[in-house]
Formats: sequence, structure tokens, C-alpha cells
Amino acid sequence: MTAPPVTETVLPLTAAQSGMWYAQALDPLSPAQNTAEYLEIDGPLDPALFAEALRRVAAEADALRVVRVEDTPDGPRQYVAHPDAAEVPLTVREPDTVAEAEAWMRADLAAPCDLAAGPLFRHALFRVGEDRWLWYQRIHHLVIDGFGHSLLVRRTAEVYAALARGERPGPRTFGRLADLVADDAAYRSSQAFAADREHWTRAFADRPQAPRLAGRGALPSHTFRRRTAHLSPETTQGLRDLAARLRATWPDVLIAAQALYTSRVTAQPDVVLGLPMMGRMGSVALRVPGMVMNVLPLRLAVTPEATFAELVRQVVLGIREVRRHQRYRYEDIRRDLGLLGESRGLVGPLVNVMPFDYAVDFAGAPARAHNLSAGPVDDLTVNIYDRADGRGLRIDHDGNPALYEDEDLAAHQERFLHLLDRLAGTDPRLPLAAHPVATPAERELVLEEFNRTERAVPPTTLVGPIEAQAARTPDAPALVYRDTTLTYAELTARANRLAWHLRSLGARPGAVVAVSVPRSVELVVALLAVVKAGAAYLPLDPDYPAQRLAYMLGDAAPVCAVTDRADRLPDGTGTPLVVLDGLDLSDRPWTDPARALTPAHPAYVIYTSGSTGRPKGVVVPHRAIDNRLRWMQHAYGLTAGDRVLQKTPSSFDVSVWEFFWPLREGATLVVAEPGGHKDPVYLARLIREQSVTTCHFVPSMLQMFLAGPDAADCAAPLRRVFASGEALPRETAQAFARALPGVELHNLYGPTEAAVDVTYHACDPADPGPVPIGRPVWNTRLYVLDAALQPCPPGVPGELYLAGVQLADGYLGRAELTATRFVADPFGPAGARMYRTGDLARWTARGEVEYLGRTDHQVKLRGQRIELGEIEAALAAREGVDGACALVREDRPGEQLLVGYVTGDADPAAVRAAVARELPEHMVPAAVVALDAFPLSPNGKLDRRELPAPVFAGSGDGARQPSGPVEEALTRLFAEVLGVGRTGPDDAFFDLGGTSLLAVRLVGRIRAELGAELTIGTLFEASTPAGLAARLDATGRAAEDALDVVLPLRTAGGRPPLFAIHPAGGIAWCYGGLSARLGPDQPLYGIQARGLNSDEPLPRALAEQAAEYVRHIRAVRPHGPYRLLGWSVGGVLAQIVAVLLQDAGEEVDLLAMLDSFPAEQWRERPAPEEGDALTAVLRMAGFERTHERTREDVMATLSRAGSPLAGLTDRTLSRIVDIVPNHARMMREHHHRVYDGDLLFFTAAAPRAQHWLHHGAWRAHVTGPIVNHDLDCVHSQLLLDRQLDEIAAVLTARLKELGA
Amino acid sequence: MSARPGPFDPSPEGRDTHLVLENAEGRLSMWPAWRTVPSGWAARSGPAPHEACVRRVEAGRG
Repeated sequence: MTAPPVTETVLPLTAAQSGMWYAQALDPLSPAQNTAEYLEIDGPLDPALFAEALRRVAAEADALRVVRVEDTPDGPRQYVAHPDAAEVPLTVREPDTVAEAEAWMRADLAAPCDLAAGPLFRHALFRVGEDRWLWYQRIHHLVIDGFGHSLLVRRTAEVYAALARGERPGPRTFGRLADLVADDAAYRSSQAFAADREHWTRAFADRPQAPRLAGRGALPSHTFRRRTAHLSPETTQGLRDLAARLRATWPDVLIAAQALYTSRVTAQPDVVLGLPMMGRMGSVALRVPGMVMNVLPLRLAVTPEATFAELVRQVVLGIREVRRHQRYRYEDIRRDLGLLGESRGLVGPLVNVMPFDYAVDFAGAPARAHNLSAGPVDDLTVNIYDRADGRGLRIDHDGNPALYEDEDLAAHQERFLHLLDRLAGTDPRLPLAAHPVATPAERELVLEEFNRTERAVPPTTLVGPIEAQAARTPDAPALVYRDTTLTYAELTARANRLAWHLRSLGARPGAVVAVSVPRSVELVVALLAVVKAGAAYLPLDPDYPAQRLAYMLGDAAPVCAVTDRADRLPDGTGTPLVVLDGLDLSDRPWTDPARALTPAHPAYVIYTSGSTGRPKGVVVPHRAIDNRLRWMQHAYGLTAGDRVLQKTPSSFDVSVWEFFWPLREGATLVVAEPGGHKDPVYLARLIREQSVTTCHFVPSMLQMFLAGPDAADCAAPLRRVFASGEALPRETAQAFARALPGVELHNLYGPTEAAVDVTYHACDPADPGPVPIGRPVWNTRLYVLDAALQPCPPGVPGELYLAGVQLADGYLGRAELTATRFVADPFGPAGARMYRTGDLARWTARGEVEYLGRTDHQVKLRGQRIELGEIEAALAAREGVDGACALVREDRPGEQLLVGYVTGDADPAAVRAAVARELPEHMVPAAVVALDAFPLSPNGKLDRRELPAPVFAGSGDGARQPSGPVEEALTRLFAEVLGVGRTGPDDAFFDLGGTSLLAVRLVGRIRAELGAELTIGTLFEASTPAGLAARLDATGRAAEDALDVVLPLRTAGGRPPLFAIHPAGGIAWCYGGLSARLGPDQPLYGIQARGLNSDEPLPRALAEQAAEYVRHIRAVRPHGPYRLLGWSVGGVLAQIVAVLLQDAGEEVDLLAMLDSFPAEQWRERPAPEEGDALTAVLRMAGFERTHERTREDVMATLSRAGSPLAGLTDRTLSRIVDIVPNHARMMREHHHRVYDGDLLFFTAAAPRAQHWLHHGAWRAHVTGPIVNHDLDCVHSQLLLDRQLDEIAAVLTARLKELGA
Repeated sequence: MSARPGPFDPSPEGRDTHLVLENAEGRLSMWPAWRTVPSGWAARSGPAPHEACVRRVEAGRG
């Protein structure tokens, strides 16, 4: 007898179920959709009876009979078994321990569920004591939610109890799954659905940023981390009482607390939390165990001035609003808003309050629920359970492991509990600003522990220790500039005479004296003289526009201004001038002037960019800078043997320690040329020649310096380098460690408003991640504060405030600005001030600070501080400009560009020219772009992200043609480096968006390709291709020289040179890029075919050609060891040269070939004719031949493409077309001899027509092993891009092994 | 780099948001009215709109 077929019901999915189905389909192997819990049952239990109860409940609850979910052409469908076929396999394990049971559960929970195969649930019973049981149930989230779970548990307990009493259980109370599906379908076609959509779309039209505690989002992981805590019964009761007083529920209070916490930690005043809703209000779903729950966004404004009572009220009203629209799915809201995808979430943390009463019992045995998994965790979910046993609330922090480590969860949880504690015990009518989110221990750590910097220092001034030092070591060298060296006594005498003179003009403590002198001996004398006279010096950069200089003179009202020349400063300022040129001070005393100077008097006034359009003068007192220099000496210990480079412009406060620190310690000041600070090549030479031990770089300049060819040569004299002025990238620190091993790199940070630097960090190349700005210096405190001016715990970003002795007095004559930036310090001694930096930062757990960016529109461009507001004000002041804005773009990585935008009918080029007369060079936009209107965001604000990138175009097609090969090559290099289509020979580099970083790159390219030595300075002086070409023709090598047999690509460097022999075309320029990559210590000579620039006959045999090369090579290096390399036929020649050198008894220790194959591999093949020669010429330029038929066609192509070969004369090009087939002929006639040694080989491994070519053919002609490297390219691409990098890397390693 | 109003910036609505504090040295500080006044400082004026406080400081009146 067979059983009657059992029917299955097939149902579509509800929208909620579909969400789960898609999530599982996206990641089929993820177990994250498994929900599970276990009940701890204290009392006797009959497993058989329990199994029967479960079976009966399964017969009642459709959800427990969903056997599988399959995709069909109409969408996914769920298959529900007939009630009579309800099967509930129950695993029973007894006896067992809790630990074993939990391990079993965790393993079960970690297995993904195959929806198409089923089963979708699992039950198990563990006996973990005489009368103690654990009931585990795991159900896929597609069929059940938390509320559904509770329905099932209660019904199971009810049925079990009835069975235990021997009674028939009461009638089933569940609704049907089919009703749920029908209800859902009805909703989705209803008016309410449309109204709900309208509500949510409107509420989030501006797409607020999701507040993420980890600072970023991530895809959901397969698992989650959980940390569980319990809120004490007292605090729980306190929160309940508070809720009652505020006419709210305790979940409202907990949600408000989480909003407060989230707002502070993410620094967002607009917080969107996710609220899991059971979604059953007034619907049939109230009786259906199924998947109904939804997550809905609750948007709250959290401001420091609002009270907690107000925030709770917002929550109450907000939830009321959410409930009205709670059937609309979260997935639909995100889709409507276009916020799908991992980084485009809408909500931050989820707050999942589960007030379900789990006080069930199984025939008198009480049971407690333990949640194991509430479904996938996208970011962070705070699960809060009200426990029926009166033991307070249980709080689980579940985090996505991709975002949170265990200690992160612990920190968030601990702070949240502390906050709840605090809120429960505080008047809810206080402003939220009264509540810190840091725990008391964290607060102690960041305010006190990390700031223990108290250090007693004597009450001295900037200048006192200098005079004391001069008296101790009068004959020691104090200053070196060009050929001049001054001793301490000489410097002191000159400065004193000038100081006495300045005193006669009114210089005294409290007064200001301007100094406008280019970098020179006189500059140092003048600055020292001003402070010796007791006055504060005001540096005026001689390169600043007259209008700005006039403004500063008017604003600071100095008693006089020291200049080197009478015309240095603008006329009509009324400031008395002290012109050093021709000034006779011989009648003034050479002794130190007496003065009533105290540490409180100002030492210098330095102007910085001001956001309102006017620069502001920062007044720094002696005690501040004296503390800074005493700390620096303690930390880095300058000695008499040290030589400190002075290269920073005096208007930038880093120069203050450069000038005065060495003079206080008996060291020597090495003064760079004016303008020299922009030229890495000059600086490297100066450091080397002047044995500089200590210097400073702005990180972007340091990067350029390290990229230069000579940086590594500075390792010998240098002891320490300081970086400050902008964020120091880790890559730069690592490049530093590679180029300058053994030299210390220190990252310093500080604004002009706090005496140069307030933090310090010694870089360790082994450290990962961002380079911290470090710890506070002596007598300095750092605060990282949130929007409520409360301290942020470690790891949480906030604004950086500075306090302590190094603070400036304020801004000269700007009381209102001073009172908004230098504000009352709530954490320091009574009456203390703190400076608000506007920098975003966070503490690390080790007590260092990391810089994260700006809170406002101030930007740093190559270390210079710029207020965009000042630039915008200057742009807007021009005739015809209606609106203006400015920003720093980074359209190409690492290349920052200041760009101005204007509306109105002004000519943008004229506007740029006009502001260039007013603003210092570093503040002049590289481009001004005219717009019809500014792009606006949906809420009507300027949308800076939508501002277009400026288009720099050279004069291009309309320009005159380059008038020679060098000019031609330079116009091409300009266009390449600047990333513009074409340039003309008269286009200026800096007009086309050239930056100093790009300038370094351009000079490097010119060096590599044209073999021309050139400094950055030359580019500043002659900034067009035509101008540069004229310079090169005058000073560099003429283009024709580049066609000699020996092409010196790099002559400097201590290693034995590498000789690189030309490929078939006879020209060795292709090795220029290799030279750049092998580094400054590796000399490299190209060997080129003879006859390129003469009418000499071409060689008749390779052996003859090689013999000639041997003569040339030995003229450069008379004896071995020799190192040889060649590409294509050049490799064949290199082997012959190597054999000849060995014949002569010389050592050859490197023979390297780039895709070269011995003669016999070619012999049977037809020799190329002119057509192939043309192909070869084009390949030399990196082109495959297409339509070109004649020499003229080839010339035209090269010329159009701007190839450097196009700069060759017709005659030379004709020679190349002869040289190529000549090589082919000689190759076929050559018979190789054996080279005694190894072969380093590089194969162009992409498939080729000449498939028979193989490096193994060399085995007959070399005695040693052949080491081959396959490169994924064709023959003509070997010296390009990645291939070149790889070849250079292999060669570098090999050359290193060989040693010097 | 969002420029949302910080504790020392004007509020968009021009409400009475700030105090002007003074310490024993006669230094002035703007201060948000919602935050406890730090020790050693006393409110000299306010709460008043940010702009009004700035004008008072400019005039040296606090």
C-alpha cells in the first residue's frame, strides 16, 4: 500500500522574504541569514513529549513547513508542506556540557543554508544537567523573524504543557502564511503604499550621510562579532523612571542615548539610526509566525545645546512618524533614493529593542532565551533585551567583523553603558553638551595622561641664549653663505651695531620692526639685530606683491623696516626705511644692547592667510618660542659639530628654528641661495658640499627631493630631517628610509599660532598606516574635542585644540578674531586659553595624534597655509566678477592644483593676472575658470564636487612649429608632463597648470631623454620650450652630440659603468629610461652605431663593429670588470664585445641581453629590405607600421606623434634606414665564439611570428648558466612602462650582487 | 571637508548662542552659551547672537 501523495502549497514570497532571498542569492555560501537562539530550561523535560509538541506546532505554523524556496520564471516561490507531512527532526544529545552544546550550535550556525534544497530550520535538545536542558532552534531569516520566534516558542511551551498534563492542547491560534502573502500583495498595490513611498522619498531627499562608527562601510560578512553586557538593575530602573518622567518608554530613552553617542563619535549633527520594526501593527501578521520585520530609518538632529528631554521627545515623535509608514520596505527606500551598494547606506547603527516577554515555562520548568544570531550585521547592531527575571537589561553589540575588532566593540559598548548611567542620573533638562561620550578612564587618559608635559624652564627669551653662546664660542663658525663664513663674534658684532641703530629709530620691547631682505648674510644679521634690540621682527617676503606688503606694513605699523635696497618696499607706506646697502654702522657699539625684555614680550609677528580676505599677523611671545627651542634641543641635541640648513623663507615660521636654534647651541647655520629652496638638485648639492646635518622639508618637497637623482648622496652628512607643514604620507617616509638609510626623519606639527610646532613623532620605516603627528612638546596640552567641546576617546575624530605656554598672544589688532580662535580652556588651569586649530585629528591608543584633515576651507598647498576665503575675496573684488569660489583639486593623484571659479562677464585670464598682482605666488590660482552659474546641491548650497576641472590647452595647432629637434622634443615633453593635448614652443609651463612637482618631473624627463643637465631654477627662468631650448643649446650638449658613438646617459656615480649597446636602428636613446631607474650611483653609457652624424662608411661585419666598440668602451673605462647590455642586435654585439674583452685578458662580470638571438637563428631567414627598415624605425619610436610606405611617410608619422626621432635630420634618418638592413645582413654572416661566463636574459614573451626564437640557442655560445626573465610584451615594448621597471629591478639587484 | 557650524561659529538663525568671557588678564573669549563656563573665566556679556558678541569684542567692550 502506498501513501497518498502529499500536496505542497506553492506561494510567492512577500517583499520582506524577497529581500532575504536576494541577500542569500547574492552570497549563497553565507550563513549570515541564519537566525538562532536557544532556550535554557531549568527543570525536567521529556524529549519524546517535546518532539511531539514540536511536530504539532510545525503542523500549525506554515513557516516551519516551508521545505524549500526555488527560483522560477515568475520569481522565487516557497513550497509549504501539508500539515500532515510536518516533519521536525529533533537532535537530542544527552548528557552534554554547556560548552559542548554551544560549540555544536556555533558549528551548526556557521553552515550556510541551501534554500533550494532545504531544510530551512534545525532543532536540537541538549541535556546539560540532571534537570537542565537547552533547546536550540535555527531558522532561516526568510521564514521567521524575532517576533515569529517568540510566537513559536510560546506555542511550543503551551502544547508541551498540555501534553504533559495528558490534555489536548488548545486550538491553534496562528494565522496562515498565505494570508500574509495576500496581505503583502494587497499593500503593494494600495494607495497607502504610494503614500508611504512619497513620505520616505521626501524625508530623505537630501540623502544624508550614514553615520558610521567605524568611519566607513563594508559589505556584510558571513559572521559577526558580539559583545554582551548587562545594565545594572539600578540603572535600568533609573532609565525606566526617566522615561516615565519624560512621558516616553525606556526603548525611546535608549534610542535617544544611542543617537547622542553616534552623533558625537561620528561628528554628525544629523543622525539616521536603523530601527528594526516587527511591522505587525494592526495587521494579520500579528498572529503569523513569519518574516515580516523591517528596518526603518529614524532621523534625529543632535545638537549640543538641545536637552536630553528634547532629544527623547524627537525620538517619540519620530517613531510615531516611522510607524505610520512602517510597511514600506527598507530595501525599497534605498532603491528609491539610489542608495544601494556597499558604500551608499542610509542608516548607521541599528538599535534593536526586544521587549518580548520570554517568561515561558515548559510544564513548570522556567526557560530563558539566549539569542545566538539575529540575522546579518551590515555595520553595528545594538540588541537590547528586557529580561523578565528583573536582572536589568542585556545589551549585545553585534558588529560586522570587517569593520570592528573585539576591542572596538568593547569600547563602544563600555562608553554606551557609561552614557546610560550618566543620563539615568542627570537632569534631562541640561544641554547635551554636559555629557561626554568618553568613559571617565578615557577622559583621564586623553586629558591628563597623554598631556603630561610639564617641564620647568628658566624665564629666558629667544635671544638671551644666543648671546650667551656667542660669548662662549666667539671663534666658532656661526654662519656660512656662498663663500662667506662669519664667526659667532663677527655675526654678533654686525648684529649688535645694527641693533643699536634700530634702537635709535624706536626699536624696543613691544615694538615691531619689519625686515624685507632676500636670503643672505644680511638677512640673518637683520633678524638677529631686531630681536637683540628687543623688538619683534616682522618678515616681509621680498617676492610678495607690493599691495600685500603695503597692507602688512599698514596693519603692523612697524617702527621701521630693514631692507637691502631702497626699492624693495612699496612707496608711500610712511614706514621709515633702514637700507642696508651703503649703510655705515662703524660708529655704533659692537656690544650687546641692553634692553628691558621679558619672556612675555613679542618675538616675531608672522602673517598667515585670513579667511575673510585679509591676512592676519600672529604675535608670538618670547616665552613661547623659547620653550619650543629648549624642547627641540632636549629632544634632538644639536652640537657644535652640527650644520643646519636655512632654506625656508623667513615669512614661514619653520624658518624661526632654522635661524635661531643653531645659534643658541653653537652650531653652524648654512644659508641657501634665494630661490634655492625650490630646487631639489641644488639643495642636494648644498647639503653634500656644506656637510649639512640638519634640515627641514615640507613633505611634498621632500618627496620631490627624494625623487631627484642626488638625494642618496646626502645620506653621509645628514643626521636628521624634519618634516612639517602638511601631512607626511607613509610612502614618503618609506622612500626616505630607502634613500637615506640611517638618517632620522621627524614629523612635526603645529600652526604659526603655537610657536611653530607642538607635536613630534620619530618616523620608523617599519610602522604601518598613517604617520602620526605625535605627542605634545614640553608644557603643551593637546585636546581632541567633539562638537560639544568634550574630549574624544582614542580613535574618535574631533577638532584639535592646543593649550600651554607656546600659544601666541593672538592676532595683531584683531581682537574679535583672537577671541574666536584663542578661547577659554575648560580642562587646563583656571583662566587658561586654548587655540582652536580647525584641524581634524584623533588620538591613537599610544597617546599620539593622527592628523585627518580640516574642518573648514583652509587648505595647505605645498606646506603653505591658504584660506580659500582670502582667494575668493580677491577674485570677487575684480571688476565684472559676480561670484567667486576657489578650491584645491587633485584630478591626477598627488598633483594638487589651486583653481578659481568666477561668474560674470570678466575675462578669466585677466582676473588671474589681476589677483597675481595682489596675492603671493602660492595663493595665485593655477587657473581661473569662468562659469555661467555655480553648480548647486539639492539643498541650494554650492556643490564643490561638481565644479569642472580646468582645461589647460597649449596654443596647439595654431602655434608656430618648433624650430629644431630640441625645441620639438621639449614641446612634446611639456605636453606629456602637463597632460595637455599639444603645446607650442612659446607656451609657458606655469600657465599650463605646471606645478613645482610637475616641474621636477619635467626636468627629470629632459635629463633622461635629452641627456641635458638642467635645474628647476632654469625652468623658472626660461619656462617655454623655446626658452629652454635656447638655454640647452648654449649650455648643454648640441643635439648632434647625442649621435656620437658614446652617449653618456649618466657619468656620475661610484659603481662600474654599464655599457648599453644600441638595437638595430643604431641609436641608444632608448636606454634613457633605464638610466633613470638604475639610480644616481650607476653610470650608464649608450653605445651607438657610427655614421649617424657623419658620412663614415657602415661596418662590414659585426666583429669589426664590436672591435670598434671595444676601443670606445676602453676609452671610458680602461680596465674591467666590464658590464654589458644590449637590446635586440645590441645583445648580439654585447656578446661579441664580451668575447673580445676576454681575449684581451679583461674581466666581464655582466652580460645582459634584451630579447637578442644568436646569428644562426637568423641565417636561414630572408634579410629585410627597406620596407622592414622603415618598420624598424617606427618601432624605435614605439609605433607599429600601418600605412607608411616611404621614408617621407615615416617622417610625417614621427613628426605628427611628436617623437624625439622626428627631431633628427633627414640625413640621419636616411642613415638609420641604411643601418637597419646592414645589421640584418651582418647578423646572418656572423659566427659566434664562446663567451666564458653567465648570461642574464630578458624575453619578450608575447606570442610572435618568429616562434623559433629562444634564449636556449645561446647555450652553444656561453659557458655559464642562462637566467631568463619572461616579460609579458612584444619585442618593441621591452623598454616601456612596467617591462622597463621590471628589467631595471632585476638589473639593480644583479648589479648590487656584483658590488662596486 | 564639510563646513558645518562649530561651537564658535554663528548659528544660521542668529539666535542668542554665545557669551563673551573674560579672564583675570583681561583676555576675551567667545563661548557657546550651552557649555559650562570654564573656571577662571566669567561671562562679561551674552547670551547674544554671535555677530553681536563679535561686535562687542571689536569695540573692546566684551
